[in-house]
Amino acid sequence: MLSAEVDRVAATDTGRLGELYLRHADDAVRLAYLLTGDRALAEDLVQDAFVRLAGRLVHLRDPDAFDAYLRRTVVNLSNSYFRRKKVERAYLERAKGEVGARAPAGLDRSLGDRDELWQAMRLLSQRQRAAIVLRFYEDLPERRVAEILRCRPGTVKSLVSRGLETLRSEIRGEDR
Amino acid sequence: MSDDMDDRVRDLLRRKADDLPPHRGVPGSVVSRARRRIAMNALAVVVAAVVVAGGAFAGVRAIVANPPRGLVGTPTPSSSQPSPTLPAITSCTSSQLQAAASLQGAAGSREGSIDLTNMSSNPCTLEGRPTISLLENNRPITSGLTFVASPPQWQVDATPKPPGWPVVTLTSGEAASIRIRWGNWCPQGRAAPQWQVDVGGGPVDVSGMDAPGAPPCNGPGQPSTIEVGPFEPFSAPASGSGP
Repeated sequence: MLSAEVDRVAATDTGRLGELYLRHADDAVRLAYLLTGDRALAEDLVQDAFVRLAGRLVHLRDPDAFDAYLRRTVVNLSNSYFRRKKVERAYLERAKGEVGARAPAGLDRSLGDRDELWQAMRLLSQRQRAAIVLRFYEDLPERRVAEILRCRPGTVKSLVSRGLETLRSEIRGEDR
Repeated sequence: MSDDMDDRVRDLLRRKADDLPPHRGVPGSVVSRARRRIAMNALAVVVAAVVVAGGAFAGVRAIVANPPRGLVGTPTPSSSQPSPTLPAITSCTSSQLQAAASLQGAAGSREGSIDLTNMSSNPCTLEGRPTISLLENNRPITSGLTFVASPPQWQVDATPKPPGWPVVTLTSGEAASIRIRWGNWCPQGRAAPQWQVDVGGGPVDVSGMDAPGAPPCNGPGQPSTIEVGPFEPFSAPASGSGP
């Protein structure tokens, strides 16, 4: 009886999640792609986000809030991913005794993407990139961006400003 | 800013986002993983509810079977298990105590003790040397008195120090003593005053001070001398009776 009830809840919520996926997945994958610059990774992050949110659908009182909820989850998962990668990289560098032998500064032309601005975005810190994407792609006000990044609006302004400055200097350097 | 970096970034992001193909359906892996997660969450909620309900039921049964003393209003006989925490014993207050003097005539003075009995049902403690007040016509005598600190009776008698002293713990009905030696009450024939022992919460009237009468006036113009010892456990004189 308990098992049947759990199955019923699972079936109901899974059906609901399917509807939400079809409605919001495209936007979420685009956001994740802009945050990560990697399509496959963006797909994985969004699937993880939907699975994570699946267990919380019962608590979602306002269906219209799902969009914001999903956006925040995607940003958090993206940040977590890059934090994890940073730790892994640091560990591997230590293991190889290559501390200090960092990747060469500047743009990586080996990826086949000729859009220099897109390439330059790889040089931004994850938080700068997230602030710029949320501000210029999602068109969110600084206050909302600050809520998602869990910082103050002034910090968002600073992240965007410094990020843009980095992009400017990189583009100027490439143009010379 | 003079350049148009904002717009360039905005255009770039939109262009890159538009490059991605739309989704046609829900990936099977998402459905299966989500279903597992939802089922686990639902199961966790049900288990938590069962645990809470079971705990509440057991708690109510325990209370009904063995109501706490504080809820029923009347003390219950002590159970086979002693209470793990005993209430803190507080200092005795004047409302708990009854004082009686037990003095005898000595060479030109009156000697003995004032005994304070705990009349309450709760234990309490006394410690240190009390303040003694003498009153005539219900007014404190403020001059002509000299108070002198004296050793406790157990030291005078050279007996072992009582356990716990200088703290004296009085259970209900137990008594503590103050060693007293009183001399030179002038002028001769002056009536014995009313005595009070000050403890926390106010003074305690001492009864029986007039039994042996006031001491004689041995030094007219000299103050009356009152030696006061500290609180100590009551020990009945060999020939006397307890409080």
